[in-house]
Amino acid sequence: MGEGGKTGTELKEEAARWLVALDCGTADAEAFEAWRRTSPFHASAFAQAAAVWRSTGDRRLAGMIDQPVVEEAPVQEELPARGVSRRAVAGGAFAALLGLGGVGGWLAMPGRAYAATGVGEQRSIRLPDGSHAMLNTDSKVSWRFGRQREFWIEQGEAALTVRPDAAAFMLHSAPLAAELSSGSFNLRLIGKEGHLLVQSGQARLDTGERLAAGQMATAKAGSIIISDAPADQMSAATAWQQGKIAFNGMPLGRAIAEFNRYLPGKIVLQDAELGETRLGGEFRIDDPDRFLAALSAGFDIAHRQQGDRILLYRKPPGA
Amino acid sequence: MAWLRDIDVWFADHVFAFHQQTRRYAMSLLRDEDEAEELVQEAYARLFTLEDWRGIANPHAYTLRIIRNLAVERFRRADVVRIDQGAALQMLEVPDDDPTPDRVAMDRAELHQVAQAMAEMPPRMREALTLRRIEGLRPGQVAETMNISVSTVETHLVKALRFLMQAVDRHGKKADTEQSRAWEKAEKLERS
Repeated sequence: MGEGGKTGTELKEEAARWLVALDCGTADAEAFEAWRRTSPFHASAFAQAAAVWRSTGDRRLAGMIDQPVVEEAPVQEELPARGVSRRAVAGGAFAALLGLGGVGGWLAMPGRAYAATGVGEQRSIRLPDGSHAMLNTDSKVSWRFGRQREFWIEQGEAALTVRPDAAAFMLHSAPLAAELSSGSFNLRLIGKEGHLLVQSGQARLDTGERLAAGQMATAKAGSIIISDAPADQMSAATAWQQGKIAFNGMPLGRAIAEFNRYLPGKIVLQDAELGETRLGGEFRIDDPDRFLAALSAGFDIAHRQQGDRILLYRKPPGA
Repeated sequence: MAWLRDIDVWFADHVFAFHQQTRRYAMSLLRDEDEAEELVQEAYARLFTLEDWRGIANPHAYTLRIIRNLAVERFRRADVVRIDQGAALQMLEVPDDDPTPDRVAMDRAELHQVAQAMAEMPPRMREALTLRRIEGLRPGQVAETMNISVSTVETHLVKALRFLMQAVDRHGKKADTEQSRAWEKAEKLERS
């Protein structure tokens, strides 16, 4: 190194020791300043240590790392909830407490409990503090209740009913994170997007913005937009928890995408232009046949099974 | 935190934030990890001798220019100049002096690296660091929670910080190697 024979490694070591001593209030401030003044290499080594140190204080890290907690894994109950479709069962849908590890993307470590639902399945989980989580189809969540109440949604959708408690309730997901008051919330992940809906109570995002009841945050492509939640979003968030799926003037293309979330064998639209057809109505998640029958009766849209897919097409004239 | 000066924060935000790019640049000139690291450290040290660091429009580009000049000096002093090095110097443009955007926060990829490194730490080290940095406990409270002395907490924290600093180095080296390979490949293509 260009400095008094000291190697870079030694300097970095010294810098780290000064920094921690200063942080813990055990350093002699004058001795430190003297050390730092000795050489620009010292000043620079210290600044580099400080930059790395600072990176560990980012609030968002809390949701990304785990540390072992001495706490019994919370109990899960109310196995399989209503709304398991026949197809899902036939397709071998699973519901498993994954226990430790195995959930990709997150750094799985002891201390968290995990739960997941298969396609077409919903389930209800009572959390250790009496709060409640309802998982929608094809979802993965985990939680850890210690000094804070922490809940992660890795995939899919969950509705949370948070009970009042002195410990903060932190909701984490890849696209967004928030501290929740007591109340009801719905978080849905679609690919890399996240939609957080506040049905009652309040949420404070990790970016500092606040959401009141009736508002939603949409995290998309790195930015977060806060808006008043449209009525159909609000009703959709409650409908799925009752095993229902509601379309209020939704284009058929999107309605099918919604239904497909619950179906192991997907519905496929053959005629692209049919996708614009708007439809209303409420259907049972576990009864896609009713949906298909309604399409046939109301819109002249027929279907046929092909392999594990259901193809939709316009009925030929006169059929 | 009087010990953290404005220049330290400036350095973290505008220079060290681009540490990996800076290392890759030095590596592309020197093709030697130790030499590249030495040059980067020398360039960083020079920044701390500046009176008017606040006036630098693009501190990252400024740092790259120091590195480039240091590399040129080195090549001139060297008895044998490797032709590919000379060529590399001419090929590599330093970015424009456009002001660097203010980085309010690390992006998630960087955060993930920090999280990853923390996950790989020995548990007690990680516990001390998490309690102090993420949960924000005072050193005394950390000691109490972990049932150890404050000076042991300090030892854990120093080791944790070193662990993270080394992770930053390791990460850089991995990227350096990939970059060099890409370079060699590009050169072979040109020659053929």
